[in-house]
Amino acid sequence: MAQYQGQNPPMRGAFSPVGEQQFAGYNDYNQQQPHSSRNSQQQHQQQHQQFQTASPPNANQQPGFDNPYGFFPPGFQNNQAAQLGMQFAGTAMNAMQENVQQNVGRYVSLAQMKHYFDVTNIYVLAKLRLLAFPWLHKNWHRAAERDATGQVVGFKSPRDDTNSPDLYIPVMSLVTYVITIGLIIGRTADFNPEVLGYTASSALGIIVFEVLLVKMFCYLLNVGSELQLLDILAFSGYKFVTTIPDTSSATGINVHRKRRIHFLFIIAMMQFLYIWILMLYKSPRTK
Amino acid sequence: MSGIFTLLYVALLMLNAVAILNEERFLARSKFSLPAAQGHADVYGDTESVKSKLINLISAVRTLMRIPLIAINVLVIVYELTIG
Repeated sequence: MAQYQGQNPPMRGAFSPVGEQQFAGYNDYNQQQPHSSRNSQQQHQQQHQQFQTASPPNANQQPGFDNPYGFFPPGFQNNQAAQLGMQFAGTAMNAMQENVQQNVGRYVSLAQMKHYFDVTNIYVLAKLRLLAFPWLHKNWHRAAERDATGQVVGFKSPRDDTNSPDLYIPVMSLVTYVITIGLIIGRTADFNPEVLGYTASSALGIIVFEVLLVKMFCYLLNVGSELQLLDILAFSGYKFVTTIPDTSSATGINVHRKRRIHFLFIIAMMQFLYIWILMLYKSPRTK
Repeated sequence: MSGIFTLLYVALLMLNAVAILNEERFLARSKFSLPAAQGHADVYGDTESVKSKLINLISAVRTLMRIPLIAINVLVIVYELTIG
């Protein structure tokens, strides 16, 4: 008995919580029958050692483990309840995920979002180099994604194509921008956390304003649907990395080409205005 | 009031400005109302120009946003009077 209890703690540690409940039930059984023979205790030990080496317990193993003693430990019912709870939690999680997918998917499709976050380290480095030294980059065309029959089904994801827009760099650079402004204010004046919210809000405001402006002029100038909302969002977010505008994929060749190029030029020039406003926002709180 | 709320207010005021344009006194006189534009398009066959797009946008805003704008304006006014 003493030997058996000496083995107790490590075995408890080896089991999952479900296993512990079962184990507790087993201890009750031992306390109820303290005068059992030495032989049966050794059987118990063997059973436990087998149990320890076996894979973690689940519902199907329990009857086989308990049946030789013709006895249901109290932990068994707890296990059933726990499993019912787990099943219930699983169903609830699935329902919640479906709900999220339906509600979010109404505005932006999650598959599309995944496409924009499908980046690698090499892509991020190449893109940052491109943003810092755009004149070193010669080929601005986006690679087309083809299916098995050779049909063009869209553009390649950022993983395979440096020219593809992503949303990872804009999101990260937006966060970095907000934190950097916080740092600068913290160095020069007294910092309070409100600054972070204020900076983030104004930066988001500029992005929303720009996207709305581009969308409206796309409607007015019939630029068409090849330029998607998330693309605009991505290109508008790159300004947080650097001052260089990157709206090169927004060109369309048509009757109103001249006017569109003027529009593109205005958008590009407005980047300087936006960047100036973004830099300006560190002063109002400091004075 | 921080950046993005300023932007929302600007958008609301711009929508209000479009919605209160008078059909007979202003839009028809400056050839920006929808019937005049449709006559114009019939004559020139030009439905893709910037002006016709603008006219479409204005008339769409005027018909679609009139009642929601009342509700939003009331909300904003109550907010500004009580808390803001």
